[in-house]
Amino acid sequence: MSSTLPLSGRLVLEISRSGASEVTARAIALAGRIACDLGADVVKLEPPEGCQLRRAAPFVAGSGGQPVSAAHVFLDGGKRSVRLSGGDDARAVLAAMVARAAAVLTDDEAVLDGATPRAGVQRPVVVVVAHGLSTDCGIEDAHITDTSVLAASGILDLVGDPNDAPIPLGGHQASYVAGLAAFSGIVTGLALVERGELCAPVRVSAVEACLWSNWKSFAERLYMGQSPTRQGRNAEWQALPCADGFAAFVYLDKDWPAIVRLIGDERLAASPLDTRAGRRAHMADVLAIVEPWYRDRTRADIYQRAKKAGLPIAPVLEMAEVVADPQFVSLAFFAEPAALLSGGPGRVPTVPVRWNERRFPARTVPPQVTP
Amino acid sequence: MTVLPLSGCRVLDLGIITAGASTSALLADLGADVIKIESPGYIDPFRAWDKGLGAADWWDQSRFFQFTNRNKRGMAIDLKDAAGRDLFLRLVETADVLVENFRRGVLERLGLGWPVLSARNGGLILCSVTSQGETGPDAGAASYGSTLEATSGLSDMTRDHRGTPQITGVLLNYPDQIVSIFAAGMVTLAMMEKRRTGKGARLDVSQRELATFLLGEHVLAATAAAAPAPADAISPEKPVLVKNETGGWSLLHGRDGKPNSVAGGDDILAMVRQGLASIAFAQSPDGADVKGTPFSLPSRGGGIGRPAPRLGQHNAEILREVLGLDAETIAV
Repeated sequence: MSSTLPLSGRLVLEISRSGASEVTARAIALAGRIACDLGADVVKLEPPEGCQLRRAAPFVAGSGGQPVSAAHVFLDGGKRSVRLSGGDDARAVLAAMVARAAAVLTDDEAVLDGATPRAGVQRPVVVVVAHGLSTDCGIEDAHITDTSVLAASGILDLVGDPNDAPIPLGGHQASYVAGLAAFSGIVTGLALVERGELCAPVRVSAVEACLWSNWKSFAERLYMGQSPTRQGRNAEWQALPCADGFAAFVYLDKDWPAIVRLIGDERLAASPLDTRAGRRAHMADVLAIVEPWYRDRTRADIYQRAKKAGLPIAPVLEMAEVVADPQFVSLAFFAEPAALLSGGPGRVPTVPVRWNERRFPARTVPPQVTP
Repeated sequence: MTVLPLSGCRVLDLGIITAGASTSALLADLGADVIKIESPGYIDPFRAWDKGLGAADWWDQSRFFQFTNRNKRGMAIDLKDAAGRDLFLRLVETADVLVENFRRGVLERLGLGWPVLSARNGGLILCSVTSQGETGPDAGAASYGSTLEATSGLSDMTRDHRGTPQITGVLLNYPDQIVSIFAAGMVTLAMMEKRRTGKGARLDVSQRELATFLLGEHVLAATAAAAPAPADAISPEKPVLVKNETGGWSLLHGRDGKPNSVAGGDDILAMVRQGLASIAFAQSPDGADVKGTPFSLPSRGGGIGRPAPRLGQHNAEILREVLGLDAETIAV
């Protein structure tokens, strides 16, 4: 990488309308977060009341002790902000900024009407982000959440116990999967424009991005004639309780002999547990042998033994432990937005890539609003 | 001729299962000439996923392999053999990108570590889709996607009503699926940089880091001093799930509780057949359903131009076309 960052000198606009779903607002902000750390000048064009992420839980203590949204700090650090109040002046500002932009991220394509650059001026790459739920469902955008998208894409059906309600993935996974797609959509468009080609709007649907990620459910239904669904205690892989928390029990068929050696119980090597089909049909018998072994040991003990055996078993880490984890610390994965927070250091993750062993430093100061 | 973002770019694909193979698949969709390279003694494990539904040549019939590896050409080269390794390095000299997601140390043991690769081609972009980074105390630890859900904080944030943390398991292996969306974007960015500077790059994309990155606000909340919600805070809408008349579950929205059902395999199949998933899924020229893309492409043209390769299907074609070898040499 040259001394400048890969997206240096490029203006990226984020436009999320009032009343948009949190899914599109977060997706746009995540794509902008990554572009910003890779060097882009990212400007949020905010509605009069400010972007909804400024008011999103959880809250942490700001520099003067006042509450500030953790999502706003994480997603918007290093960006600039312009508040658009509506009217002709706002339209003129928007048109002027769009004319200078390399890329525009928006959940409202109509906002670009009248802001299209004049002939002969390079058009920006436009990435249009939608939640992707059918308008027929009659649900207002403001009520569409990550869980709505996980439900519509089938991912929600995969986690939990079959006799209980399914369990949504933690955090805002559907929004951020769409955000990753929006980021790569920007880059793809820029790569095309650099070749002198016209760039059609890139469309990101959170439901489709999650369906794409959940392709195995489609393939299983199509070719194996069965619809995968959550399996609870019958799942081959699950988190099991141990002496000081939980550890994941994860293995492929080829790993089974090493599992038998790890647990040290020959019943695991005997019929019917010696084959994958047998284990799937008798998971309660597997757990009756494995769970007592887990309960007698700490996560660290289990992990060290599994590592030595080359097995993909690992502790379930709580978030505070994740931040202190030696692997992450050794790779300087977290940054400290100290200028913002009081009463505690605070950490945010950096963009998850190293380029020629170099990390992209996180830009962490969130924007002040320019009216 | 249609110009796509990566037209003219050659990608060597050592990616397997999903994380690596899907990254290369996206690069193919963006116009790159992707050559999937497997060893006769080590094929992509997805070829054995469904054992070709019982076919004698099951390794060429796996629908699960075809889902992700469409739009690629295929070669079979024994990288443990000196002649095979030499042939591979000659291909490296002609390539722009190499994608791999082996366990750390495998490339080095094959004599194909970064110093060797970059010495042969200073313009090469090596994209390693790693479990948890190229270096560090746990870099070499075995892991699958759900292992990394446990260590990234995702399982901690995904618990049942008893407090038991959840992993997505074999059905999804979540980090495996999503990493390629980001990795393909980073490779494309590195290609843009290469077009400007002529220089290659070594990219290390960690799946565990990505999973934690997508929990960024919760990382901050766990490490900074908490503060009470201000008066104008948005109240998060808690998911309300109820059993519906078909025995499945519905998610209720808003004060009036508008329901939307939780989709299963039948619903996904229906969505695809009704044309409601035309970005996510596509058909290859042989009519098979395959993966599409996570976002619509910005160029006309493209699409799925060829089905997934049979093992070693394009050996002769690529040796002739890329390395200029004649039929007699190829036969040897």
